[in-house]
Amino acid sequence: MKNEFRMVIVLTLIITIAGCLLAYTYVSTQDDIQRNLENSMRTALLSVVEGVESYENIALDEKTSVLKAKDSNGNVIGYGVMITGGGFQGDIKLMVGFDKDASAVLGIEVLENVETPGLGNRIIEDWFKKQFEGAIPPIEVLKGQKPQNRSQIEAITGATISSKSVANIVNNAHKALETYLGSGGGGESAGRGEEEILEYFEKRWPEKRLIKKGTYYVINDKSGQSISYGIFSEGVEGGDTVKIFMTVSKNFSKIEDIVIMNGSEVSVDKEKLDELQKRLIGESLPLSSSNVEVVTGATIIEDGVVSAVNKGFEALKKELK
Amino acid sequence: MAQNSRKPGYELVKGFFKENPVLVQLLGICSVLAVSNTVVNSISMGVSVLFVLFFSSLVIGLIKDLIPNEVRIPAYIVVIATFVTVADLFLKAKFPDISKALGAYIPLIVVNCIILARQEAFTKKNKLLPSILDAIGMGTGYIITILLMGIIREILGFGSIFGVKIFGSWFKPILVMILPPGAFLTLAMLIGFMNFITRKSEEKKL
Amino acid sequence: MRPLIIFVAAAITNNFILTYFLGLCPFLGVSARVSSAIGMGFAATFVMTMTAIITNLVDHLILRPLHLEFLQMIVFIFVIAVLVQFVEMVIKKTSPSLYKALGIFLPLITTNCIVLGLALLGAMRNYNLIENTFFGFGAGVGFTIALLLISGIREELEVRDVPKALKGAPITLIIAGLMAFAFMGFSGIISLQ
Repeated sequence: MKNEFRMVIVLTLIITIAGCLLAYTYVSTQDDIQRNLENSMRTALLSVVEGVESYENIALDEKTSVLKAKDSNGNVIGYGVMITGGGFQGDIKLMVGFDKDASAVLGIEVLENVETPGLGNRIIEDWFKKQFEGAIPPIEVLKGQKPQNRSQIEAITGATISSKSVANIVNNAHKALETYLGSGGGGESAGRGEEEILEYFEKRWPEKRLIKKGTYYVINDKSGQSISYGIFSEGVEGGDTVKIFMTVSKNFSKIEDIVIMNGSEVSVDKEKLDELQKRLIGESLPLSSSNVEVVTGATIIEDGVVSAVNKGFEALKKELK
Repeated sequence: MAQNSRKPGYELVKGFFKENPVLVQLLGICSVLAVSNTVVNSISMGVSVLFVLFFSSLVIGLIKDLIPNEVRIPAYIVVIATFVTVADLFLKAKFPDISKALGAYIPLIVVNCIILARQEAFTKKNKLLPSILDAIGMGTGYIITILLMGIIREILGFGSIFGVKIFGSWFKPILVMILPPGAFLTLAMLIGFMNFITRKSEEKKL
Repeated sequence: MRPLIIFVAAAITNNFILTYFLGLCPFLGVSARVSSAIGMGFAATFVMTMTAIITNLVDHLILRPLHLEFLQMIVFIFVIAVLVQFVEMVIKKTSPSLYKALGIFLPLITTNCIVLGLALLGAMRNYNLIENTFFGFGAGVGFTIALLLISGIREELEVRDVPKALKGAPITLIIAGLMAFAFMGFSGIISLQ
C-alpha cells in the first residue's frame, strides 16, 4: 500500500513539474513563434504584391485568410490570400496575390509543401510560379502543351497532380476572395448583396419587412403599412466604386438608413465607415458634398457615397412617379 | 561485464562506433531514415536528439532512486516528452525553417528508441557521471550516423552539399536517393558496411 | 468520400512504414515470421483505430478548448499507455484465446512510434473524428500489409544465400527499400483534395 501511494505521489509530482516547465517554455517562446508566422506571411505578401507598406489580416476560416495590401497612403493596392489546400502528398500552403479588382493573379508563393522532392516539389521553382503572374482565374493546367491564353499554365513534367493542385488552390483562393469581397461577378453579386441586406434589416428592425418591387424595395411595418422605400445604388469617385443600400422616408425628404456594402473598393477602415454611416442617417436629400461633415481620412469615399446616394435618390423618384 | 568498472572515457567513445546506437544497436532508425535527405536537416535532427538524450539522462540520473520501479517507464517518458516539447518549441521560435523541414519528426524523438533504451539499459544501473557520458557518446554516435546518411543522400540525390551545388551541369541527380527507398537502401549499406568491418576486425583478433 | 481517401492514403500511398518510416522496430524485430506478423498487425490495427478515436476526442474536447496544445505529446502518450493497458485487461477477461494470440504484442505497441506518430499527425492535420478514425484504421491496415509482405519475403530469404554482412537488418532494410519503390507506383491513384 505504501509503495502504491508513493507511485502516485512521484508520478503526480513529475507530471506537475513537467507541466510547469512546459507552460513556462510555451509562454516564453510564443512571441517568437508568432513573430515568425507574421514574418513569413509578410515576406510572402511582399513577394506577390508590389509596393506593400502595410496590410490588414482577415481570417476567413482555419485554412484561409485575406490580407488587404495597402500602400503608404493606406489605399488598397491588392490582396494576398493565404490558403491551405490538398496536394499530392499532403497539404500545400500558398500565398496568392491578386490585383485590387480581384480579377488577375499577381503572383504566388509556396509557404509550405510536402510534395515529392525533385518532382512535385518543383512547384517552388521560379519558372513554375512565374506562370501565374498575370493569370486570370479560373486557371487551367495543360499537360505538355504551351499555354494559349492567360488562363492556362503548363504542368511540371511528371508532376501533373502537384501542378493541378496548385492551380486548384489558386482558383479556390480567388473564389474565397470574391466571396469575401461580395463581388462574385454579374448578377450573382447583386443576389448576395441583397441577401446580406435583408439579413441586416431583419436583425436591426425585426418589426419591418422588405418587399422587392422591381429595382426598388418597399418597406412595411408589421401591420403591412408601407413606411419607406429602399434602393441599391453605386457611385464612382477616384476610380473606386462604392456600393450602398439606403432607405428613404416616404416623402423623399431624408435618408432613414444607409449601409455601405461589402464589395465597395474602399480604403478606409470599418470604424470610419460606421461613423460615416451614422452621420448620413437623417440627412436631407438630395445631398451635396458640402453639407456632409467630413470624416477625417475618408474624404474620397465620402464623395463616392454622396454620388451613390444622389443617384439612388433620383432612380427612386423616377420609379415611383 | 561489470559496467561500473569501466573507465569514464570508454563510456563516452563507445557510442561513436563500437556500440553505435543506429548502426549496431539498430535504435532510432525511424528518424534517421526520415530526415536525412539533406545535411542541414541531419545536423538539426542530430543535435535535437543529443539535447533530449543529454537532459533526459541528467534528470533521470538525478531522480532515478526516487521513482518506484513499477512506474519507471511512464516517468521516463514524461521526462523525455518534456524535453522534446522544449526542443520543438525552441526550434519553432528560433529556427522556423528547420522546424518546418523536420515537421512531425521532432515530436517523434519522444518514441525514438535510443532515448528510452539508454535510460533502461544504462542510466538506471549506473551513476550520474557515466550516464551523462554515455548519453553524450550515444548522441554523438547518432549524429555521426545521420550526418553520414545526410552527406551521401544529399550528394547523390541533389548533387549538392549544404545546399551548394558541387557538380557541373553534367550531373543528373539520382532522385531516388532523397525519396524513401533511397533512405532504406543507404542505411542498409551503412549497416552492412559496419557489419563487414566488425567481422574483419574480429577475424584479425582470432 | 474524404474519409475513404484518407483511408487509402494512409494504407497504401502514404504507407506509414514505407513513406513515414514509422513503426520500424517491430518491422525489423517481429517481421521474420508470417504468423507473428499477422498477430502484430491485428493488435496494432486495433490499438491504432482506438487511439485515433480517443486522442481526437481528447484533443478537440479538452486540449483545444483550454489552449493546452503544447501538452499534446505528454497527454497522448498517457492516453496510449492507458489504452493499451485497458485493452490488454479487457481481452484477457473476455477472450483468453485472443489474448494468447495478441497479448505479447500489446506492450510492444505502447512504445511504438507508429501509434504516437498517428495521434500527432492526425492532430496536426486537423482531422475530425470520422476522418481520424479512418486515418487510424488505414494506417493500421497499411502497417499490417507491409509487415505481412516483408515477413513472407524474409521466410523465403532464410534458405537463400545472403552476403554475410547483409544478414539480418540490412537485408530487411533493402527489401523495405524495394517495397517502398514498388509502393511509389501507387502514388497518384488518389489525391488529397
